[in-house]
Formats: sequence, C-alpha cells, structure tokens
Amino acid sequence: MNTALHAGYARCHTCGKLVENMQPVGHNAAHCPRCDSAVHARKPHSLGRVWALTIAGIVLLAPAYAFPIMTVLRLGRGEPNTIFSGITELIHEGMYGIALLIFVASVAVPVIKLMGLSFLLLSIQLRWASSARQRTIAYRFIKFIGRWSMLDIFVISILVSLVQLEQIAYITAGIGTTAFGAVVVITIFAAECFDPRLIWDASTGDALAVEGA
Amino acid sequence: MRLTACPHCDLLSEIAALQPRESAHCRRCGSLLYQHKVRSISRTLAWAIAGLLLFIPANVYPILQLQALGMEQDATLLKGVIALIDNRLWMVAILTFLLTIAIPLVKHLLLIGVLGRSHRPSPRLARWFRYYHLIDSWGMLEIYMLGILIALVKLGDLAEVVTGLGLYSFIGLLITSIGAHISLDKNEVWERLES
Repeated sequence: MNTALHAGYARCHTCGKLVENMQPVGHNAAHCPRCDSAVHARKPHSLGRVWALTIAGIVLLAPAYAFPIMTVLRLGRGEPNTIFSGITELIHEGMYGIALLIFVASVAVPVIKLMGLSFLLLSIQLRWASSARQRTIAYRFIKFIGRWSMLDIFVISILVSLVQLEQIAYITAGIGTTAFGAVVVITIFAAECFDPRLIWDASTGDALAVEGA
Repeated sequence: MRLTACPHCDLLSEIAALQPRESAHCRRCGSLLYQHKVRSISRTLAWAIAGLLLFIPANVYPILQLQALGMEQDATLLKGVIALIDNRLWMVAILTFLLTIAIPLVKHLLLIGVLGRSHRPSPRLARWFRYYHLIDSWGMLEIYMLGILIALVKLGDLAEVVTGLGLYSFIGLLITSIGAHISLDKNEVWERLES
C-alpha cells in the first residue's frame, strides 16, 4: 500500500493539502503553503502526549466522582450530591430517562473514552497487525462522543442560575464540577493529539513512521 | 484526477471530479475524503448570517423562566455563567462561557468574514479560516440544548417553568449552525483561498 509518507508527501492537519518533498519524519516543521500551519507527516510526539493526557484524565476522574457537583436545598434542607448520588436520586424520583442520559454523558462516555484511548495506544505500541480498520472506526467514535460529557455541567449551570428562590428552593454547584470539566477538556485534547495513522504504520510494520512518533 | 492522502490512514488516493452530492471514501479505512456540496459557499454564508442575527435574541431574552409563590427567576446563557462565578467556580464559568457563547460567536464571525470575501483571497482570510478550524470542535450549542431540555424536565415537579423567546431563538440558532456545518465544504473554501 502506498502511503503519503513513503511517497514523500504529508497531509496538512488543518486544511488537508498534500505538501510535497517532506523529509520522511522530521520535527523541524515545514509550513503549509495554503494555510501556513506547521506540517508534519505524523502528529508530533503523538503517543507520549496522548498517554500523558489520558493518565491525567484517569487521575482526575477520582476527584470528579468523589466531590459534590451540586446541592439542592428544598425549604432549607438538602445534601450535596456527587455525580453518582445524583444519578441514584434521579432513579428514586422515577426520572429514568434523565438518569440514563446523565449516566451516559458523565460516566460511560469519559470512562469508555479513556479506556479506548489506552487500548489504542497499547495496540500501537504492541505492533498489533489485525483489525486496523476497526480500530480506526473506534477512534472516530471516541472522538465523536467525547464532547457530550459537557452535558451535566451545562445542566448544572442552568439549574444554578434558575433555582435561586431563597428559602423555597436553592441550588448551588460544587467543586466536583471543576475536576469533571478538566476531565472533559483533557480528554478532548487527548483525542486531538492522537494520530490514527500510527495504527496503520504499526500494523503494516512501517518502522520508519513508528520510530518518529 | 487529484491526489490526496487519507487523514486517518495516510493511504494515497487519486480522486476523479465528483458529481453533485457524491462523496469519496478511503478504500483502506473508509474515512470520508471529499464530499461534493451544491452551492456550498452561498448556502453556508446564508446560514451563518441568519445564525448571527439569532445570536442576539438567543443571548438577550431568557431561555427559561421559573415561577413559584410569586417569585420569578430567569436564565440566560450569560446568567448561567455568572451563577457559576457566584459559586466561586471560576474555571467552570470560563469554560462554559467559551463553549456556549464566545466560541459560537467567533465561529459565526470568522465564517461570515471568510466566505463573504472568498472571491478576493488574501493571507489574512487564510489565517481566519485556520482559526475557524482551530475552534471548530469547541462550539457546543447542541449539547447545551440537551442540557436545557433536561433542566426543563428536572424542574417540572419543583415549580412552574415557562419557556421564553430566548429558547425559541436558541433553537433557531442551533438549526442555523447545524445548517452551516452541513453545507460548509471546507476543501472548496481552501481551494478558493489558494487561487
């Protein structure tokens, strides 16, 4: 299979232009003649950056789930809720649909994303040869779902601004939102830094490309 | 025929000129390489201008209003950010401001600026379109929309919630930004800026 790298081309990450006469893998960036972005045959230091961001995301999941994200006071009474206790409360109140949406956005998506990125990184480093196409599709899926994790933070921002009815009902936001917001931002950056072409370089035994990553 | 490389697997492909509404995919990994869109630039420009106009009422008028025991409280996009600042959650407030107000607004302005003048390419336009690509995936209006719906249902048993003009403008803004996203042919814009 003929790749751009072997033919001496590199595709601009920003505008998609094929740039000619690239040094095979060099970090002294050329600039795209069309959009002036730095052009690399592969995203620079992709594996290291994605590992660093993924590990940071996993570490931050602990405070994101442990600290309260929201306190609902009705007639002056109420306990702070974490993401999990909030979901449990929604189930007790019979709001199954919303409980499921919040669970998917706040728990399933970030966990699947972090596990998925770790799996993809390992598959590259272990030079897996099979199912490169499926892993590329998995990457696209991971990239697509990540942004939906912001859902709970937006809900909290609306509730906090709306429910300020003094003694009757009052909602405050908790410190867990900061940690959770950080998880979302970090995992979006992680997916951006990941270069799916490394999956194909590793599976076709393209030593030239993998060494440079 | 033109030569291109797959963004996801780096395979080189030669693509023949596409017929209207045709698309080309990578034969090795299936990624979308090109998609022909009819009158992309003028349609996207129309969506973006409509969106910019809707941006004003969507931000000025309340999106939701809560009424209970004679008390009233309303929510706008900016009030949501201010409430987070009141809770001393500075980082979350800044993040929410960027994702729901600043980035969608700047995206509209960049798009109108680039497409409106794409008949006279200049390095400045290329720079603007590069900025557009940079922030493209950080606008999160559609996620905020789902957040509004969840807040609506959650508050249903607590008090009476009234939807306002702001909500309808916000829905309009969401539709126009999806329209702009679907009709935008980035490759065509870049080719124009190059000539």
